[in-house]
Amino acid sequence: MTARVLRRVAWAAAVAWFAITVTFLILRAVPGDPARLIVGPHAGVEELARARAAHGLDDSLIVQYARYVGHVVQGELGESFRSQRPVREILAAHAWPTFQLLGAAILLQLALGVPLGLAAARWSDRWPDRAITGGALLALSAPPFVVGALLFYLAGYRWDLLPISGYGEPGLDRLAHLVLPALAQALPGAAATAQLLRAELRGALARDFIRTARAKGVPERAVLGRHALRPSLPPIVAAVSVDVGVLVTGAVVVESLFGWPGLGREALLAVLELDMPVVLGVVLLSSVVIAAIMLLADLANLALDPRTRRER
Amino acid sequence: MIRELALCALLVAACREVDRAPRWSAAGGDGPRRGGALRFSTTASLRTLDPVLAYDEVSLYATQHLFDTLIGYPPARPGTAGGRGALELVPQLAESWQVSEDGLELRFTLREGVRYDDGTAIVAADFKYALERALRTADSPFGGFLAGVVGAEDVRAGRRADCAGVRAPDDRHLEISLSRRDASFLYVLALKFAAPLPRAHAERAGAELRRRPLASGPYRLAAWREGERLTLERNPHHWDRQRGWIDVLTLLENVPQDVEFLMFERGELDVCYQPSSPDYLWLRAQPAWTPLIRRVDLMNVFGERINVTRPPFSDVRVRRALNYAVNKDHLVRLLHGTATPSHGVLPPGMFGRDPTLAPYPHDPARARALLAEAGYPHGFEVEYVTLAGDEPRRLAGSLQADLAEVGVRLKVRALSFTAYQDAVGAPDGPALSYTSWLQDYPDPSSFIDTRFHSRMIADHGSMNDSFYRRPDVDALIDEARAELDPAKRAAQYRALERRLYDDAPWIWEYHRVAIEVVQPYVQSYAPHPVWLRDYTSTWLDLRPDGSRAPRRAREPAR
Amino acid sequence: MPRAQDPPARRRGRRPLAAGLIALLVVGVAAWVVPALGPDPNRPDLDRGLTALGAPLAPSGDAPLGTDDLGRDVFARVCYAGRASLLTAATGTALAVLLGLLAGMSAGLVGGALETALARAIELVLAFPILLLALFAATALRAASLDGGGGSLAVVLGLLGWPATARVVHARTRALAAADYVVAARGLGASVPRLVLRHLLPNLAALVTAIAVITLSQFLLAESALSFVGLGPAPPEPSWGQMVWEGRIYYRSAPWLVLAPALAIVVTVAAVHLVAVGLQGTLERVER
Repeated sequence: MTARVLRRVAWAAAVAWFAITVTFLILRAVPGDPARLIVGPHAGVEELARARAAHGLDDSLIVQYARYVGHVVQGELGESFRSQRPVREILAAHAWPTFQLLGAAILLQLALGVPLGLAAARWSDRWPDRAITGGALLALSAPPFVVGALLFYLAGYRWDLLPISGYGEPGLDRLAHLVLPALAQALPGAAATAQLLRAELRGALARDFIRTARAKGVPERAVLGRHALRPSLPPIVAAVSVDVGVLVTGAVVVESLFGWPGLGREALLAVLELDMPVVLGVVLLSSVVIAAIMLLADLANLALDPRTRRER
Repeated sequence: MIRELALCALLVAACREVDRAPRWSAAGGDGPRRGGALRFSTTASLRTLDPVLAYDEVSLYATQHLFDTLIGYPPARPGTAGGRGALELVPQLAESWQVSEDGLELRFTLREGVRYDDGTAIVAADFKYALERALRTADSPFGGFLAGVVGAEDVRAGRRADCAGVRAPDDRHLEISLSRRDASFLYVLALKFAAPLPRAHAERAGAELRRRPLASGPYRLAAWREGERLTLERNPHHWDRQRGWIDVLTLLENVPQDVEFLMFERGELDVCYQPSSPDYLWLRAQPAWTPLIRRVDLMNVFGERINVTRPPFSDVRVRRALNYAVNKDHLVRLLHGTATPSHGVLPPGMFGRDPTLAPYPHDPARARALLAEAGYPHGFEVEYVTLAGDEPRRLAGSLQADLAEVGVRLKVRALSFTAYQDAVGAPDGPALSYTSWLQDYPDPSSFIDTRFHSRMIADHGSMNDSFYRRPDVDALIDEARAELDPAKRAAQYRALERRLYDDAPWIWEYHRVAIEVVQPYVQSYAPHPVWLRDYTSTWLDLRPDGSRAPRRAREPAR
Repeated sequence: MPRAQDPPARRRGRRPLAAGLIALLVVGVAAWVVPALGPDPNRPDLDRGLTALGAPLAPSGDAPLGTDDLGRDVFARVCYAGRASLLTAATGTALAVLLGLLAGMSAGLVGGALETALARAIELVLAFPILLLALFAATALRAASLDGGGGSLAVVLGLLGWPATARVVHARTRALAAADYVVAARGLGASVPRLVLRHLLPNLAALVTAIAVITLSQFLLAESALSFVGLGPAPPEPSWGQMVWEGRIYYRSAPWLVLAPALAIVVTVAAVHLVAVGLQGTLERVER
């Protein structure tokens, strides 16, 4: 058990190293002088040269890379080229909004997907099943920005129901601001969850122990809700944990669309302006978080499915 | 049951028609009153509050309210030409100044009793410290503006800490010595980097200075949740009772352009700067909103910059042909009338601009003839670089179509800001690209010197990105800069304009007009031609209890 | 996963497969045939395609889906944009599947260190927010001017998308390599190319097709998302995601600028999903 966690942690470190190395190389391959970002379009050649020297941008690629990795190991992430704000601070400020958004999206995804999956399995091959499967297919075919744009237009503009942009004030206002972006994020995931759960439940319902339960007179609701659902959960948890990677990426688009002050939007702005320290910071953080979530999903499955506990 | 309810709710929601006229009106107050809060937004992030680092538009929205300088500009008045009067330099923290006969010695007398927002006195040494700090700070773009000050080079190069040409003989006097005559130098002192800063505060704040401003202007910092919102409150120690009517200014960061207008319409914002084209078009069609649109000529210029050293553009006939090929009426239509066609870099209202020079007419036949004469009867293909963004994209589309008509085929590449700057500033970069210039200060030297003097040519990050090198132009530019007689100076700039018009190192296209829509209760406001968004003289016509007066039902808004 | 107890499984694949293929055919015809018949999708028409103030025209007889902000026919453009979207996704898919097939098969056949290395590499790439990486890579390629956009996007997708294929192919290859008849063939001295051609590929074909279809749907979505954030083909060439991005600010006055390309994306991806569902049904039959 401990060994397993340790292996996971070591692996996460390897992933993080890989991620920042690749990102570093890609970003340095881009023509474009980061010093221009520091001093702006009106600065003369001398100002440009001074800023380059001050930030070590004249050093060779290897020196810059080694320096960066050295700093990261010491927990130092540098400063944004654009704002001179410490990257650690930027990450800290924007991680919480993204966490709220992703948390809400995952909850919504499960809250919508699980009942729909249950319903589809309960009325298998009848109209609810067909409607849900069809709807799920459609939802899976719509990218988050299309769903987002539609929500924006209808709920935000046409009906004037919900706030469409920004973070809002803490409390109910925040919740109201969260609804649309979370929904845009959650819809495809909910569809995937419903589909997966339906398939798992159909498989489970055909198994012997279900037949036994039914023969013993357990009501159909309990058969589905208690006996069949439980063994179907581990794959759902695994799928959701994999989805986190997808959600993180979706956050880039959805946060930009709804003006949500999260890491995704920050990353996109930084990429478009080649603000390297910020991009590297976001990549580092997201790979660590994804690894952590995988670990959590692992542990959750251990708890849900006693059989895996003895493994290794 | 639940399903029926949900269906009903959905139907009700679908049928609800939202009233889209202004939701409030002016309370009817008869003159400026203090109080209220104004919320405005920007599409980008606020980078810094340190005036020595703040070069971008958004940072200026903040520093403009936080800092006063020795001399400044009066506020803009509503009305299209309202910006003109706002370009004259007026005393701010200095009550007066003298310039010596030869133009090399400047002496400022500070206003009595001026204070920072913490109550400490503003003294002449603080200005000296601020200027030296700009020279010392590696990341500051402003050091170059002080190149004409005696001893500035020593400080910039790190040889000395003390700038010999800037002296504070006592608390109320500041003297500056220049090594060469410069008619535009006073404008430099009106830039916000020249705002006073006490050494003690700078050393206490250290790297935190970017978010711990010591305000000398009408507003001071209340709070800044970075990336989200900046809140400014009135500076109780400010000297000027004619500025700072509104109690609290809130700047919301990173609000997308399409969202900004929607928030404005709902009353979540009090002003909306440069609404996107569709929103502007919509506004123009609403009688209730039209009177609330403010337009001001801005000090900017847009066009296509050409690298004049690269064939086929080294031939002036080709450059002129491109100027004839572009249909400026199309461009103005694409911008929904918020632009004026241009004949050169100097915008309307700028000193030294020649108003009699007419823009190149749209004449494809002539363009084709010129191209044929230059040896390109069938045109040519060329790479064209532009910025990623909505407006550059549309303009590229129009340009591509116009040039295709005379046989010049553009391969368009849209780049991010940094990559774009890098590409166009290199001698071997793209020969044709989108360009624009926004003044640093409202003087022709801020346009012509930087973009067309051969001194500004460099191998990397060249400011003169046309790589335009004409000895006669260089000489004329230097003469005009040192000329102190306004009439002679204006004639010199008119000659320069003519020369550049004929030589066509750019495709001259247009100047943008600033558009800002305000709620009915926002009074005496227009975008400022230098600072763009300046709410220091704006007041809110609210009800006595500070709430907004709702528009009465059925009353047509104004 | 064969589910033998499912009687309708036999027929289940046919209807979705047919519907999906027909829809794709329609989209293909729209993308490659329709633009040739109508107005030039890339040519701005500022005189006739815009109002006097420069606003897009509403749908009418002349332009069934209205015009865009440069006065171009939206219907012609939506059709034409299908080329970029479909080609990018398809090229990316081909690349990803080819790479995945190569990596998976060689690891499955050779085994040992190569197998471990591959497993690690796959895990590495999968543990990383792929689309975020694609975003960086595409930005970089765009700025480096390696090409106008569409091609580099396909390469980025291909280079990042192979692990999913490789993983499945690897597992199946290993199972096949251990199968009696392959062991026998090897024992009889069959060369590796012969082994691959005669025994492996035919057995992998159905599986790979299914994976390719799923990858295609994923890449269509990824392409639209990346175009949406501005990494689509260079102007004036359109792609659907790019059209949604460009049109989004017109939600108030010209919603067709967003609705038309958005619908095109959803319909196309749904069609590919239907094909995937259909193939799954077929696959289940094959596997039994």
